[in-house]
Amino acid sequence: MHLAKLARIRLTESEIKQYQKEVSDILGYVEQVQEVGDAPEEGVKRQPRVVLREDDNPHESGTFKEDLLANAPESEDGFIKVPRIL
Amino acid sequence: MRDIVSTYLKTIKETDQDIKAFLEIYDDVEEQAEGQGKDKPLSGVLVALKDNLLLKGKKAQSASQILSGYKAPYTATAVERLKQAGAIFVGRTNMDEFAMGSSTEHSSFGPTRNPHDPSRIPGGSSGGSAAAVAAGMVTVALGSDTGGSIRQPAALCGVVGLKPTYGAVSRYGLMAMGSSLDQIGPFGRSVTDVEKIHNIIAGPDEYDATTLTKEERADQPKTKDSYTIGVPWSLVEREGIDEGVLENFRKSLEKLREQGHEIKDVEFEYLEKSLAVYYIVMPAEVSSNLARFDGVKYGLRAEAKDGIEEYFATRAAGFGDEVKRRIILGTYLLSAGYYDAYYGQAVQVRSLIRQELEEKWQDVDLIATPTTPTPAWELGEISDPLQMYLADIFTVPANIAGVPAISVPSGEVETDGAKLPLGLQFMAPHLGEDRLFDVGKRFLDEN
Repeated sequence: MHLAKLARIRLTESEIKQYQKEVSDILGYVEQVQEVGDAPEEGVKRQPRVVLREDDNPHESGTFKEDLLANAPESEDGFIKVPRIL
Repeated sequence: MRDIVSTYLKTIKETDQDIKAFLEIYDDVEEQAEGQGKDKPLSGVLVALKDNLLLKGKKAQSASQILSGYKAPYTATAVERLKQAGAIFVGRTNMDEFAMGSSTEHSSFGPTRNPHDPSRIPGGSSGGSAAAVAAGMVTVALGSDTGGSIRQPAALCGVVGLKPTYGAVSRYGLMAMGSSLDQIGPFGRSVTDVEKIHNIIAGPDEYDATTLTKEERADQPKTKDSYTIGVPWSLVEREGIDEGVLENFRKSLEKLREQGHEIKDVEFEYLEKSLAVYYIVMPAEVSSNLARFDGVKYGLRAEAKDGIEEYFATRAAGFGDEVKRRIILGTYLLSAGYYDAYYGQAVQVRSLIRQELEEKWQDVDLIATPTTPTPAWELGEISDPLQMYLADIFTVPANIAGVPAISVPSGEVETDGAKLPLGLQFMAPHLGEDRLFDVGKRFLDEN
């Protein structure tokens, strides 16, 4: 199932059948948004406020390393160890 | 203090045998109590935290296997503020996995039971927090609300639950589900307690850019001696709503009239599309937010021959049924060719819903509905996902529009010999929490 691949989840045959039906039912319900008329007028579109900030005053490198590595399933020499990719 | 706390813990553990509100009761509760002293605003107050809130050094996993073993490397802002105020954290509570559900049955640890009837669900997704407060195990608890996950279990368990205005409370340290919808909120047995907790945890936070600034909080709707309360009857009197719920709702409105408020019918063109909009926007955001669970940096990592296989296998093993369903749904809704028809359209309808609601505040000060269309149902009774989603019909509009909403206990209904709690929901304008607290305290005769 293409969606399972996009979502990076391996599904069994029976799961694929199950989700196909359930997703289809749910789509049947949410489709009603398409019944609603045209796009809202200009006034309704909210101006996003810019919340980006400068990267000032970074914390000292390594401050959180211990805490973060502690959660890694496998680590070695301060690196997170993962199965080979290539 | 230590002895009192020890006694409390013993009672909590005994009570929780049957209810299973807690996933873990921390091993340092007595120490916390001693450390917190006696002279802070929340000294001596026992608090429970939903399992999707981070407390540094403690396990947190959103009731999911994919985060097995994960320990929080930092503390959520809302939790930190409670800590600074003297609170004692008893433990982490059960929830639907990644906050997806309305019954707490989708927890990978099994369901929590409703303290009023252990054969029934407590509601969800913050079922554990609601039950912990309802059963008297803690004074207050924190939960999260994306489509009703605080208010609905509050109603079904007979306690008070608040979803604040979007941006009122920092989401830093809350595991994200639907980033444009999520808010952290309190459970309590009184509106007074809920108000107290909310005022401690709310406020701007530089760690969450979606929090409202101090300037943005300046203009707040005023409380009044009496309110004009709008009821969207065409939404309320619909198929699927329990007769007992309707009767209870009418009685609540009578009480409000007696208290001096005016009840008015309000018509909406777009509001009832909220649930459909929600089940497009939320799964879309979920599919994006849960992409981070890949077995690489934390939590479960499945055995696999290479890194790519590992993603697929970890997520297959670590996520439960409902989570997979919503990720698949969200992936579809955002995929090329469907994005505009579903997600694009839903975002526009969302704008229409927001705008329509905002205009209504010229006519009414508050909006009231039952919190839920039915009382608590039996464990295992609802297995059809879409049917479960319909339980959120009255709660999702507040998340879609970003307005605050509270559920207060409104009495009981008798079903199959069991006396089950119901809730009355009030919605207020943006930043109108004080109105919710005011009308709620008066409704519950708290003053």
